[in-house]
Amino acid sequence: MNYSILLTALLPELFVVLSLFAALGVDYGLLRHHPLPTRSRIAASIACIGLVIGIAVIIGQMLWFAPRSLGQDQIVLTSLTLGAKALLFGLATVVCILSADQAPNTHVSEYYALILLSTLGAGFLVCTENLLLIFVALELVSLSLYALTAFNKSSRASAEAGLKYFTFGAVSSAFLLFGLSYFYGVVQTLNLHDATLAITSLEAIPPLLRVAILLILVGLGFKIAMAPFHFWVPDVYQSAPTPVAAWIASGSKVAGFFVLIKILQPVAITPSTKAIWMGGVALGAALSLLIGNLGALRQSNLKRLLAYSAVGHAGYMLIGVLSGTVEGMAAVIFYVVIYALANLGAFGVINLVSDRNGLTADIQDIAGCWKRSPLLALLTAVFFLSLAGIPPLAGFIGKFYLFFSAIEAQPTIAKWYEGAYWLVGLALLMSAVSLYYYLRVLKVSFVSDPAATPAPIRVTSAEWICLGLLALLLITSGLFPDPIIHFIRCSLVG
Amino acid sequence: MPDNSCILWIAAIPLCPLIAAAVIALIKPSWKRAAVGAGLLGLGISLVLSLYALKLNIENPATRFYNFQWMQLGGASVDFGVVLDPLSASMVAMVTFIGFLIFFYSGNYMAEDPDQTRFFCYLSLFAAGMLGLIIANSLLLLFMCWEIVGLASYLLIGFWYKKPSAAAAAKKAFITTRIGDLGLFIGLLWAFKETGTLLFYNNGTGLLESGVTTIATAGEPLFGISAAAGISTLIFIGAVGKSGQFPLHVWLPDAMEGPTPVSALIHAATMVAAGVFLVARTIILFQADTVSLTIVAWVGGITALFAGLIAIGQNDLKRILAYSTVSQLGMMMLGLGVGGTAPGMFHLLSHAFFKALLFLGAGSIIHGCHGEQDIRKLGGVLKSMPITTACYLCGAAALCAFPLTSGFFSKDEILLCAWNSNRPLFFVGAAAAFCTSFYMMRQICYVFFGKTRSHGHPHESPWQITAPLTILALFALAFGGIAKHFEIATYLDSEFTAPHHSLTVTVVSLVVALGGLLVGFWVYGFRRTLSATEPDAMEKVSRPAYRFLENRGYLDELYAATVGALWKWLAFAAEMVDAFLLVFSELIVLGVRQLSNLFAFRGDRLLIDQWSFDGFCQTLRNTSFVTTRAQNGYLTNYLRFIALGAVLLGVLFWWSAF
Repeated sequence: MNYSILLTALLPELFVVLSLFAALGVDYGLLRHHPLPTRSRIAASIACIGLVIGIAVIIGQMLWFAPRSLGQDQIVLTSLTLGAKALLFGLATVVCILSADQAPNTHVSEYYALILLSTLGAGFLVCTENLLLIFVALELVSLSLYALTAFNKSSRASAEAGLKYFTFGAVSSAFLLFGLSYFYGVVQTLNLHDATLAITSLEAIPPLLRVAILLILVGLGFKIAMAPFHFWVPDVYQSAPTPVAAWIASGSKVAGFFVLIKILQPVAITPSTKAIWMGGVALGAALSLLIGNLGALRQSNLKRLLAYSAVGHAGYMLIGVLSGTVEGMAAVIFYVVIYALANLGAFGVINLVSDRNGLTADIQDIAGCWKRSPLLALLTAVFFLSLAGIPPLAGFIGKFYLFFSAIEAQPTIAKWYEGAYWLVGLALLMSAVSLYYYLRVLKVSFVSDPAATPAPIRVTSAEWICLGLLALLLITSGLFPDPIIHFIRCSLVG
Repeated sequence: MPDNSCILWIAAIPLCPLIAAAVIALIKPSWKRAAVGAGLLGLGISLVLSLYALKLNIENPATRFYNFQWMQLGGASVDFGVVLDPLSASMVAMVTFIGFLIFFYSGNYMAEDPDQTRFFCYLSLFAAGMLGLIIANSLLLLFMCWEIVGLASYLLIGFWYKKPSAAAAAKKAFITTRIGDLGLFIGLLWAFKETGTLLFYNNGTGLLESGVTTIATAGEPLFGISAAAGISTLIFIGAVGKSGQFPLHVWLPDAMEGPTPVSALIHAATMVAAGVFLVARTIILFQADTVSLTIVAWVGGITALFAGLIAIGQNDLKRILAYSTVSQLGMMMLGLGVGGTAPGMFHLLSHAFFKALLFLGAGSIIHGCHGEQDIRKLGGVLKSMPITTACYLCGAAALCAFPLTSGFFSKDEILLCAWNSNRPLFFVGAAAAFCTSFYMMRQICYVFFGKTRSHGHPHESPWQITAPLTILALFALAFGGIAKHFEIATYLDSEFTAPHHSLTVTVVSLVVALGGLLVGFWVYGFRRTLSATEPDAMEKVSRPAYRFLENRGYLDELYAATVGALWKWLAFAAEMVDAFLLVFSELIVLGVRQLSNLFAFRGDRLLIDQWSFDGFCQTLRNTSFVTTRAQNGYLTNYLRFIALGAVLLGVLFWWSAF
């Protein structure tokens, strides 16, 4: 293997790793006796610098390098994987900026180091087509996230959520690994591309393949918060530090759906292999839609509400996965990107109104936001309305495109329960239901009077820029979705 | 072929007011002067651009457009675009010009309103929507702007939302026009299905180019209606709602609850003309199957006559004008139906000037007479408000088609076309013209002559109000003649061949215009109405007929008794179904609970995976099916659900294997 090529290919990751060590080193070497806020800000800036340089390098790679694959598809760099990596780095940057003004405990640099580590894992996850590397990268993401969830050491809830997340994750990883090993047993290769060839040349479907896909689906269902493997979601979202919850809801979700699409790719080519998992995914989608949207109705905690809504959104996206066409995958990717942006924004707002004031994200924390900070209330409206799928925001286009692709793929579906029509119908119904809880948040924010002594809303300029940028992206990609959709479709087709 | 990309700048015409609206929405409500300034500036830039566009287009009256892709969905591409042709050039120039005068007028007229800022925000939003509608080169973009305009109209009619009548009128306007919009939307989808494009012009492949051929030759008629007739009639239904044609005209008179500048801008000069404009824009589709063109002409004719008659029985200064607007819009539709784009659009343009003038004049009178709108209580305005009176009389003369005023030329054109293609409609139009002269004379006699019958002293309005009136008065008098001299008809429609002049038509139109005035003066001019409660002169002639007209033909009552009752009944039925479903779902929940009890109690030993299933039933029993309760926080329980989920998926996988 040519190491100079490997080095240029992994240059973005290299910068992230460097900033990781720099953050740790500077914090423990030079700033040990400085006040906590200073340390947090400096560590966050170092992390951000590393990520931003990483993004710049990725953009350079996209412009000047032809698509390439290294080490038998261990690392695949196409415009799509590079774009996804840049997006993940961008999301991580926003998470770092949101965290900068409040350190969860005294180990500030470790916090940023863990975020960077999970970013690295997620970056590898979207770029690799090797089963082993997928598993390792997934573990890298997950282990960092377990630690981050429990990072608020003074909070019992945070520790409890971390433990739950870990236990749940460990069980799911076991399922996934078990499934992957069976999968390997059937196809005799770790490379997904070769696996596709092996499966299409199979004459009959071995029962082992069914078991393998079943176990993989259970394992990944945990990652993407598909019902009934979603039980960790509400507790973790609620009790983790808000920026961490934002990261789990955005970055980890993007990576999860990329992996799901990637692993299902070999068995999505022929109708007979497709039939193995379609029923299961359809069921998962329907359950997620129902449980997520109905569950969110009753929540009075904003983070818990977003957690249930995350389950519901996983349901929408699974409809796109189900269609199995290029159009469907493009729709899922577009949706997950838009969802990540809106969700990150929503968590960012919650971080500002609740966590910064030591509150627990009750819906009343945002009461009277319109009077306390009109601009923040407008941003909140953009994020929540995009989540609800109201035109002209990007969430609407995402949903529309998703349903469109599912309906278009209908002729390729064999049995009624795998069909898209009833699922799309259910999804439309549930979108209507979801309006209720999203609009309730906005009602509290715009109409309700603030508490007698409302906590102040302090927002740093970096946070304004981040949130403003997210809102701007949601509005512009809602009005002009074509460039993004075009990019995704072109890079999927190759 | 002209280079089309350089035409993109006309997109700035709607964008300027849009930016102004956004700016006004963000500034403090107390910054009234800034709001007025921003609104005027935004529309002022649009005015300059529009006049330049008009100049360009007059020099070279070709159709130029610029299209761009909005989004690509599978194989279907949805495109937007802007177009500059005689139709859009003349319309933007008219709308921005009248709009600018009305903005200026409102700066003073609404100065005392605490919400003037909000008012200008809505006005600017309206202007943006209206201008976008005109220059849109895509039926979809036009429809979007159409809806923005509808929204702005709703907001402005209900501007004084604390007044119950205003709120009700806003709601009525919105809902009634929505009925039409639904028709337009279905027509739009149908057109898209047939042709795969919604662009009007696209180098020969647009809806109005090859699309027409596709539609005209589209296979099987549906229930005996050809695609061309179906699509164009559905588009016309949209126009019926927006332009207040019979039978959906009921919202327009009620819309007079809004501030007077709004009535002048939206419900006289521009928005209500959007329906006429839409028909003019897509007239080629109508011409593909003349059935729909006949419908347009007849609906227009009936509206013109019916509304003209009702106007005779009204006593509210603005309501009379509103019915007059409905009647004139009917005339325009009639013109489109019998003569194509040119006569209808010519009347639209000239009507916009004098009707805006009449409304602004009415506003000035109401302003000067301390809010009095009942013509029986007004009177003697001539002495106290001479400038307003003079301007108002100019407008009235133009409306009555007094020889050599604007209305004379444009109405004459319509009647001439009707004479040549559809004789019965000619007489309907002539009768409507007679009504117009009659009710205008009635109004003039009541308002301007005699002595004031209300309390308080009327006073002339300030120059900010009279200046726009004077300018509009000049246009009301001269526009028609000038336009006729420069052959506006052939400019608007290059294929328009002027019909042969007929002496009969000229004589008839002169006789009805002057005759209506004379009869009106004979009935109302010679008597001195001394008190406001005195019965109307017409009432003495025939009481039931007058009551019929006064009550607007009892149409509102008819709708309340039919459509309204139907909706109430449907709502009741829906409520019943709801209640039934609720009971039903309760029963299901109960049944499932019983079932789960049974399982938990009896069936646990029969199950292989006792640990998992027992736990599940336990949870079910505890929760009565509320999903969130399963989330009880116990880790072991959660892990159980992984196992359960895996089993569930496994069963499904096993099942789908067969």
